[in-house]
This record gives sequence, structure tokens and C-alpha cells, in this order.
Amino acid sequence: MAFPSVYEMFVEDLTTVRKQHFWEYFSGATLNSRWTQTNSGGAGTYTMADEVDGGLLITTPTSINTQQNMDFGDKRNFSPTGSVFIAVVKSSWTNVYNDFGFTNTQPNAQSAIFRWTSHNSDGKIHLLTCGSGITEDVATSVSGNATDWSNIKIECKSSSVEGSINGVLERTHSTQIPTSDTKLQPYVGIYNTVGSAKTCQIRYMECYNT
Amino acid sequence: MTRSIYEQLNEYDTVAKQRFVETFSGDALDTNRWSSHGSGSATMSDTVNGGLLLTSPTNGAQHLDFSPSDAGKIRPFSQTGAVMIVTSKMVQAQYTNQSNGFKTNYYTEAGKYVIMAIQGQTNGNSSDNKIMLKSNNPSTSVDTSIASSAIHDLHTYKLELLSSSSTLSVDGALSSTGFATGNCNPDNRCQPHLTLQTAEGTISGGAKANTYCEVYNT
Repeated sequence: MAFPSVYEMFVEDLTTVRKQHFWEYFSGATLNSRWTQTNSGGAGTYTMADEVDGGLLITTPTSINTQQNMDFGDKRNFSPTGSVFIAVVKSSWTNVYNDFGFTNTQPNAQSAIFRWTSHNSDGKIHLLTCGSGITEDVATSVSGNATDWSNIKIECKSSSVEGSINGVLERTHSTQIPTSDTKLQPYVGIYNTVGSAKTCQIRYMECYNT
Repeated sequence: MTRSIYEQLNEYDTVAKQRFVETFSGDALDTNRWSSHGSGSATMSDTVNGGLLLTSPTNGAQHLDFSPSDAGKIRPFSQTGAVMIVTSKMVQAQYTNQSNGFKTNYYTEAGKYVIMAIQGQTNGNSSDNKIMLKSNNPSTSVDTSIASSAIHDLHTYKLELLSSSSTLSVDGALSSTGFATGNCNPDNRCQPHLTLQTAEGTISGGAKANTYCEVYNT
């Protein structure tokens, strides 16, 4: 089917007012300036990878307890009760906390993220959600293998958060989810828990309100 | 109805490969994405369907690619499985050559490439105009049979790197007119490379326009 416009690819017709929607290919010489990068404990790097299908490569410093984040600089356009986050990502997994998803300001408050970390003894990627208080942090069935790219999808609904990996619905959280009075932004973060450089990569991201 | 771009282009249970879409619209070239090399210019055109106007310097070339430096080359596309779709035209063609395609190396180095190339008029003879598939690995130059006058019109070019060959189609042609194929590939991962250069003589800069560029791994 041929569409007359990109607009009409996603709505029934032009009588529908489209909501916030962006997509990012992470292709080019440098990272697009829409992203705000934050370094804590030392400066990491945010570079485009010189590798086939490499996308953006985030590398931590070699010192322990450093953190690299990128988000929209607290421009939070996405709804906690009706939004979708899709990304294609990879994590070095060992000795990191590596998060991809939606957050208000940080993953420990008002967030819906997938977390890669070897500190989970089960060896699985977790779906982590948080409302105004306690975090719900539950394993998926998917291994956090550092060599694999994954397609992740997080859908914030009116009373639940669904997390899918590679097209399979892995987790549904209905408690400890972002509250309706908050607002969300896309977030990528990597926290280094060892004294050597750690990395994550991302080659596609798409977020939209439903 | 599907609401995501992702699911329009990929099966939901697959992991998408590298892709980008450039619409060459705005007040200036996106220099986060593109590195422009040369003493010519890369400016947005103030004309309907004008897109990006790439102008070569006198007796020189202007290049666009992903690499801000030789040491900082960014090459995310596969030499044996990638597609470039680009719309472009010659604006000022005489004594100029334009190309759009894949290249392994920094713009100052020959490297290996597979490109769609337009050889503009030389010596004022319009019959010299050709739209062709070109490569240097091995040396390949296959002409399409597009009319020479057509280089001044916007066309959609699709260049595909296959496992051991490459193809060029113009305006969707799958064979014969507007189609060329050659047993050529780059020998390493690639970046997109758009260029316009003067062909001979001391002339002021030529110009080409690009209104769209999409590249993806297959």
C-alpha cells in the first residue's frame, strides 16, 4: 500500500490529530543535537560506531561508579498512561547498570525501563518500573548476552506497563508504574561498577504517544 | 493500524538493521549527520523541490559523508548488503561529474567505491552525458541508456550492494533502460558518499541537487 504522506501512515485519516512522535536512526558523523548528555563521576564518550550496524556507541570512563546518561534535557513530551518506546540496543552487560526506556528524571523514580546488569544473579534482562515510590523489578526470560542486539518495546498504558523483547511480550506490570500526574522522556543510561570502560550501543529509537 | 515506523519497515519480532532517512529540508545541512569537505558549499536551496544544493569549488570537488576526519571514519553499512535510494539532479552540468554511493575510505583517499555517477557535458557535447554504475573494485563502468538530457531532471536512483555484485536502477527500472549491473563491491564496510566535482578546465563551480537520501543494510 502506498501512503500519500508519512502522517497518514499512522493515523486513520487527516481528521485524526497526531500526537507527539519521533524516531532516531543514530546514523551519521555525530549524535543529533536533540539529545542532552550528562556525565557523572567522569566524562564518557558518545560516538557513532565505525562498524556495520553499529549505531551510537556510549563508552564509560575506566573509573568505577561513573554514569553516562542521555535524554531530552527534561523536555518530557510522553504520557505515563499512553505512550510507546521502541529501540534496538546492546549492552556490555557485565559490571554495569544499563537502562533503556522512559523516565521522568531518573530510573529510580517515575520510570519504565529495561535494565541490563550482571548484578542480577539470574542473568536475565529485567523490566523495571517505578511510580512515586517503590520500584518493581522483575526478570524477563531473555538473557542479557553482551553480544546480542535486542529489539525492545515498552508500552505505558492507562493501568499497566508492558515490556516486550524481540516481539515477545515478556512482562506486564500493573503496580509501581508511572503515575498519571507525571510526564516522561526517553532515557539511556549506563552506570559503571568496575574500573574498566563499559559500553552500550543503540541504533534505533522511536517514541510516541498513543 | 500500525502506529510505529519500526513496524512499518520490520517484522515485529526482528531486530532492525542500520538505516537512516535524510530529507534535506531546513535552513541548513544537518552537520551532526553529515561532514562536508571541500571549499565549495552545501546549502539548502530556496526553490520548490530544491533540497540540498551541493556546489563544487573552481577546479575541485565538494563531498558529503559521515566522516569528520580520516581517523574518525564512521562506516555502518555493509559492502555486501546495503541499499541507497537517492533523488538528485544536475543543476549546472557542464564540465562536472556527480556521484552518489558507497565508499570505504575518507574522501581524500581512493579507497573502494560503488556509485551511481553522472558524467556531465564535456566540451559542450551533450551526448557525453551518461548515467552509469561505477566502481574501482574491480574497475567497472556500466552505462544506463537514460537519455542524456535527463540528467537535468530529478530522478530516483536505487543503488544496491549485493553479496558479489551491485545494481543501479533509475526511476524503478528493473531491466534494460535505466538499469545497470556489475560484478563489483567495496572491500570493506562503507559510508554514504555524495559528491560533485569539476571535470576539466578552469571553470567556476558546478552544482547538483539532492532532495532525499535513504540508506539501509539488508
